[in-house]
Amino acid sequence: MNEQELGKEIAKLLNHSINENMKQSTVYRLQSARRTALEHCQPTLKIMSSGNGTSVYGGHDGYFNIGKLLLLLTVLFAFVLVSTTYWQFLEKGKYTTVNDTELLADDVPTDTYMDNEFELVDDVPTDTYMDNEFELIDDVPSDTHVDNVFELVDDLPTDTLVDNELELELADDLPTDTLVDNELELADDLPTDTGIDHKFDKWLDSN
Amino acid sequence: MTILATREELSDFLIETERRSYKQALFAVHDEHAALDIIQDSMMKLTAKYASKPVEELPLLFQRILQNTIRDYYRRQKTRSLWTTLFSAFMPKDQTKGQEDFDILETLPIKQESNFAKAPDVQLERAQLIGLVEKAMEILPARQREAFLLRYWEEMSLTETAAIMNCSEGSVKTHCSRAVHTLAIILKEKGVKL
Repeated sequence: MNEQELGKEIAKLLNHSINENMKQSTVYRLQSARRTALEHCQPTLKIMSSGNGTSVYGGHDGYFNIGKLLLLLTVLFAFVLVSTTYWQFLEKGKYTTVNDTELLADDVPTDTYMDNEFELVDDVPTDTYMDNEFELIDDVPSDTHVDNVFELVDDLPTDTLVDNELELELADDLPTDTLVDNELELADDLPTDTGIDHKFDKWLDSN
Repeated sequence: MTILATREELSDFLIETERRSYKQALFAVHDEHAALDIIQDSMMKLTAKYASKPVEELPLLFQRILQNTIRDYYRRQKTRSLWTTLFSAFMPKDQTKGQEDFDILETLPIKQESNFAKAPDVQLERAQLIGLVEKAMEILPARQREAFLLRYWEEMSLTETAAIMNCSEGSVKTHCSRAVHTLAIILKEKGVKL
């Protein structure tokens, strides 16, 4: 028996099996499934005008529903969003890579060699920073001193400035007598010899 | 000009093919309930989407739907078995499950419509032979079984079988040849001579 004949023989046996060995419950359930399927049968046929007073059967309306259109739009939107983000990411990466490559590969411009900043910084020892402060102050032009005064004034604590201003104001407001008294007070504070001279002058005036 | 299938033609087609399709599904999934579900799903898909197709296209379409539904079942089983394995320790052991599934209809004999094998001894021998063939069909690899059933049982051409199986005609020939050889070996081992 060749291959074809054997195959057909087995198929014949299988055909007998579906007629003889099938359970009744299975047959009923198959019938039930068939009926359910046929109930849901929705022939999409309808008569459409095809022009010139003729009509044909057609049923392709189901291919263009709103759900599919919305899905298509959503997919398109997602695609555009993802591609834009990816493009931006690539552009950013390219810019950074170009800069890095230029820095590493290209010759440094001539201006860089003319600038002595780096050399100066490198040459000066660390101790020099502290020692040279005074020298630097001496070398500073006079304008700078003036500027620094203000800076110093600015650096003073606020209390100090307020005290000085008050003293000045007080001095202006004092009456003349007070000033004289103060002079006397000041005179009292003078050394003894000075006091004797004053006494002598007073005695002379009285006499 | 193509003649579109009417509701009656569709019904006739399903009546003609439902048992064979059920057996195909049963060979593939080894579970009656799952096989019946697969058949119902396939019928629903056919009637819902392809009811307006010509009658001659229905066998091809239905077989393709059936094979795809079986593949879907395999995929679902794969996922389900993963979760079942993970949570099997938490599932209670139901001893009375077998008794609940008992159906009185299953005990009733089916009406004999054919004159095949009238003698009891011949009938028994035939039943045993059919049982062996069915077991052998279940053992066959899925692709070989699919090719064999479509070619020899559904009597489809090489082109149609290749279209359903989504492979070349050469592959269909190879699968069929291997399937027949395997079946012959299995039946020979059991002492069956066809």
